[in-house]
Amino acid sequence: MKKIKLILFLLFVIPSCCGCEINNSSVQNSSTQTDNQSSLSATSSEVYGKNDEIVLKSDILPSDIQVRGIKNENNFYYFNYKENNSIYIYNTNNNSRELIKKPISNKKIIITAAFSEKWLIWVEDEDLNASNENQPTSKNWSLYAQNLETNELLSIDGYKNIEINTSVGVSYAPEAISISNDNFVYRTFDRLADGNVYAVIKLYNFAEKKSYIIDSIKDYYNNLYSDPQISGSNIVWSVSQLNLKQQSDENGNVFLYNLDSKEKMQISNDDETTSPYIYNNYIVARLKPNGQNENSELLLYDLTGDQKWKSIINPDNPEYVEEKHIEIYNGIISGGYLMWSDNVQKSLVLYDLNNNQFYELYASKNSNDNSLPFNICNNVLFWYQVDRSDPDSTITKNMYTILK
Amino acid sequence: MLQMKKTRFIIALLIVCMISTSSAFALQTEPSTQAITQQSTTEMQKAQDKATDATALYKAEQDLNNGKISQSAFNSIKKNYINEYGNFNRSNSTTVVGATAATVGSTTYGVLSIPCVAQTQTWYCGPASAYNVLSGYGITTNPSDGRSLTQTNLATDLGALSTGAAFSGTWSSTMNSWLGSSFYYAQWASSSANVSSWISGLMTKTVADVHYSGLGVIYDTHQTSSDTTNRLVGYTTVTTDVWHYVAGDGYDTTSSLVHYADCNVYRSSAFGSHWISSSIMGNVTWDRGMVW
Repeated sequence: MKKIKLILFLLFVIPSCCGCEINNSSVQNSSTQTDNQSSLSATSSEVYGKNDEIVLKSDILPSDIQVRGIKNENNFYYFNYKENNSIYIYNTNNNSRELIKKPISNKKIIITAAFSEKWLIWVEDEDLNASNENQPTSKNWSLYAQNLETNELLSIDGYKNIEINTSVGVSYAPEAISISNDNFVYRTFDRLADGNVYAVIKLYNFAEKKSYIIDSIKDYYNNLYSDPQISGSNIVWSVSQLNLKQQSDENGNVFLYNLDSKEKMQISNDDETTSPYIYNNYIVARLKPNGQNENSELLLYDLTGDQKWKSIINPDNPEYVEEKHIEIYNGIISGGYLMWSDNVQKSLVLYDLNNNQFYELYASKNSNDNSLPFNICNNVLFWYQVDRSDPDSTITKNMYTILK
Repeated sequence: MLQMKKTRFIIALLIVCMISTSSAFALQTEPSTQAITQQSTTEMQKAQDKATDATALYKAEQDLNNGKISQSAFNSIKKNYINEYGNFNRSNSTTVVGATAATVGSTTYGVLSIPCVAQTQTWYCGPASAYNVLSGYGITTNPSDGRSLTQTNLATDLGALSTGAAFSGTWSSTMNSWLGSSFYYAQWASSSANVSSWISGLMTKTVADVHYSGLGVIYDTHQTSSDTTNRLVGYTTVTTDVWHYVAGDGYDTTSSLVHYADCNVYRSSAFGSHWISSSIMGNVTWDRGMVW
């Protein structure tokens, strides 16, 4: 069944969605049942472009460098988890490490950060993992920004002595920040002009040094924001509803806000599309069939194209043909490449939006030969290669690949 | 590795002793760990006995499939196991895919499809996971005192009203109280000689509970900030240590996968039901263990 789906994928999905061409011989080979096996391997290999078309260089990082952002191709920002997640920069040319920012409060840890050429933005909070188990969900969070050129420090936001009462727990502190040019966005809770507490999506503009509420939800008991993402003048997010009495159904839709027109549009209507990420004119979002994680997909939406969602990563893709119970999530576009996570963790495949081509950067040899992406910043991909053949001594390589 | 594990266990016991003298103080000054308590020797032995029996039954079914033992011999072993630990399969509340074919050997795949209700407090992953396992079996009230099955009532029993549930804590007594049967035991991973045997045992324990008894399990996970490769689904980018209970309710042994319900609603990619390799689940539970 999976093989038949693969053939259908090769025949229809790639040409229609990706615009790439499959040569005629492959299509003809896959048209008969008896030729399936041979055509599968031949066609699968042709699905992927040649890696030297996009790869400039791959190398190994020290194991403790979990890159959160980059300054350039040779200088990577990371959190030093031994020092309250202080932000350091690692230089790959001379292997040097330089402290960039400690938490302002020595009682807090940095829980998320975003980086641009000019600004460093971070959220720090008390480390309450012991009692909260999941995340540092202290109410005592603070959001700062520092100008990397002038060292100007801005205290931008923080806990405002509000209480959130929902049927499910909430995280008070922003968990992710998205920056583009002079603007960054995040989600949190705030008390608005009517005196009520709302879940809000906030934008801060460095040029004006001013915050704006982009969107708000009063009924945050039943509606959950994803972490908003910004690229240029466009901001995307999703609003989800959870069916907590059944199989954790999560239904939602994607919204787009344009800073120039100040217009908000709902750009998905299937109630199954959430967690969008935007890069230039492309938006990638996660489709959860019937609200479930299993068999989830990534959809692509081109603001300059026909403005229709198209499945781009799904369980029928070649790298998943031998797998079961597949979950696909965490789609991120950067530098023109689409990276995603899955629960399979075998081969590492990347999608190049410039030429609509898949590239298999790492081909897993067996179920114990794993690879998983961690982050992509501009044209640098960070990923792990994990050899689990001996569970008592797992071998992990902390890799980075510079893309063209 | 084994020596290190034993050393860590001894240190853990020492911490428990410190906590027992001033629990509130200790919890506030040990913010980077989950509280732990020592088990009685009796409970440790019973957990080990159950593991031995489950392994024997699992092996017997494989031997049956391979023609090494007769159907009657397998039935006898299974009957003894069920008599000792119980069979809670309920056709109206569970869908154990392999159960109907158990006699011909379907230990390869089974999912109970328990609910995945979100935790109602940030530290309620333990109570919420217990709620999901017990409500998946159809329990609505405590059979001994009539209390309703709620996360708050479970938090009370787990000692988790204001902080996360300790391990092994009161897990076995809490689960058994609501189940109305002496079925569950908390088992430290350190009861296994090494990670590989723990991973193998975790799968066997999950199959035993889900397949033979029709009940879910509780995994107590620790995802460390320094290891981003051994993470549950949706936790790849987490920047701090995460101590987190999830409810296990299925397995696919041909793919070495376990199925679990994550009540963490704070991350949409983490929340809900997931499949993950038993290797990763074994690694993230290696610091603590499971309730089964």
